[in-house]
Amino acid sequence: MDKVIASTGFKGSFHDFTEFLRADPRFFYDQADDLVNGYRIIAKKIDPELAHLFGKLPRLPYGVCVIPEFKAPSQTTAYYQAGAPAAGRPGCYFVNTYNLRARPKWEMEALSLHESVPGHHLQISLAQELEGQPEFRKHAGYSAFVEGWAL
Amino acid sequence: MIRTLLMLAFSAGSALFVMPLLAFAQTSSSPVEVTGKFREYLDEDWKRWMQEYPEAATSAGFPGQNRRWSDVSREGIEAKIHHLHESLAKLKSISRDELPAGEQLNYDLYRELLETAEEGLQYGDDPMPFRHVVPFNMWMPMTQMGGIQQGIPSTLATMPHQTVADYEDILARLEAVPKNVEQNITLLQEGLRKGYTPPKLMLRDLPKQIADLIPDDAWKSALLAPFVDLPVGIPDRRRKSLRDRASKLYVGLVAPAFQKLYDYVCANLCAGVPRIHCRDSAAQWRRGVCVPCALANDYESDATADSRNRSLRSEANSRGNGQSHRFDGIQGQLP
Repeated sequence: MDKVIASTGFKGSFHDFTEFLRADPRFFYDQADDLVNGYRIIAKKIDPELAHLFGKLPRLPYGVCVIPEFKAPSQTTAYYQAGAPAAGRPGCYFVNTYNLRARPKWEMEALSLHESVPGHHLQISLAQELEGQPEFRKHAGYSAFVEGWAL
Repeated sequence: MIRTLLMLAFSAGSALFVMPLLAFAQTSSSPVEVTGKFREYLDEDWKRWMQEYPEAATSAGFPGQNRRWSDVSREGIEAKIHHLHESLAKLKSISRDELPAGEQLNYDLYRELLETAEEGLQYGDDPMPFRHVVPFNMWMPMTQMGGIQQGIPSTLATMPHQTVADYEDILARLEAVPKNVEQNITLLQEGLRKGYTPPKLMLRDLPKQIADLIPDDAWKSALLAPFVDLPVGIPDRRRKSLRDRASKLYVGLVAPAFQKLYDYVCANLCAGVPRIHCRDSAAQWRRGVCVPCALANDYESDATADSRNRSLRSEANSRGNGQSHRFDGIQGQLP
């Protein structure tokens, strides 16, 4: 980590660096729409890379959605809500725009990889589209596998 | 982290049907025959779970369940528990060894789901076997991370929003909200009687979440959100009719139900819970942090927590007296 810090040109201790990451305004959006668009740009950068890594991709798309205001203060920074191919409903990568000073830009890329693709959306949508399997295999979740995959 | 309606929603009204008993041959059946009967059992069981948990059916896109909430009355829960026991017994009557390898995997996975759900019953876990991360707990049905205050608006948002029939389904669910809320208040009461309460931190934002569902400007409520932007394919006159009916249901039934829930949570769950002594067994961790449910986080001083509790009780009283957030009619304008 020290080498990584040094490579950025930062002058200061490890503690100074983590404080810098936590507090410097350059790492935070001022507007909720900008944060959401930031996530959408990241998602669209990731999407085409999947073709290099996976031979089979889900038919069901996903979108970046905003966590509703009424529950945003108590919710995590982001989560994935499965879609439903049978109902024509896409997957939703929900992102939290509450308290923008708690949503640093440097966490957005890893978070997106986990919640959308190649994380939850890819795995869960492919499961939903399995053919020849009983319904519970398409919809039931096994946390160790689901969260393990998304790591 | 993933969220699905399988774990978010907990709510009313189910029409159970009796699953036909399947006779599983234990011997002298071909693998094809045994597999066919095993799959028939799985299909029927899936249908029955979807009918017992309409919110999960909505989430999975299973048709025909969008007008109801799960029945979480005592009778409804007993029926689900009975189904769980019955389902596991039927699975065990199937000869795993006669199934081909791929189906043995399905057998083992399904059995794990059912057995885990059955084991969780002693802790008040919901009988629903298709879980995600943490099972829903019937004795602690609401926290700031889940419960009907999130599940109902989330389900309404997830339902199809294309046709008049879709909106008729949403109206039917709105009409059924009070029954669902009443059943959940009963569950909260039952949980308190048993000495179960979530960790206090998990209750911190709960009252506000409920209050935010019933704002002064009703058309800003997440409960009416599906009716704000109706599809252009629905004729104007019909759209107005759907909105009018939604607003009447909101004013007459839905908002008062959530007001009652708010008052109950403030007066009983968060502000007035007597001290509950911690139990020693780590296996009983699900019973939560056994301290008063102050609306304070763990780092606040007792004095601060007491102050916040007094403030909360005062707010609850003022709401109960109709001094704020009473629902005398729709306010605000549709955009």
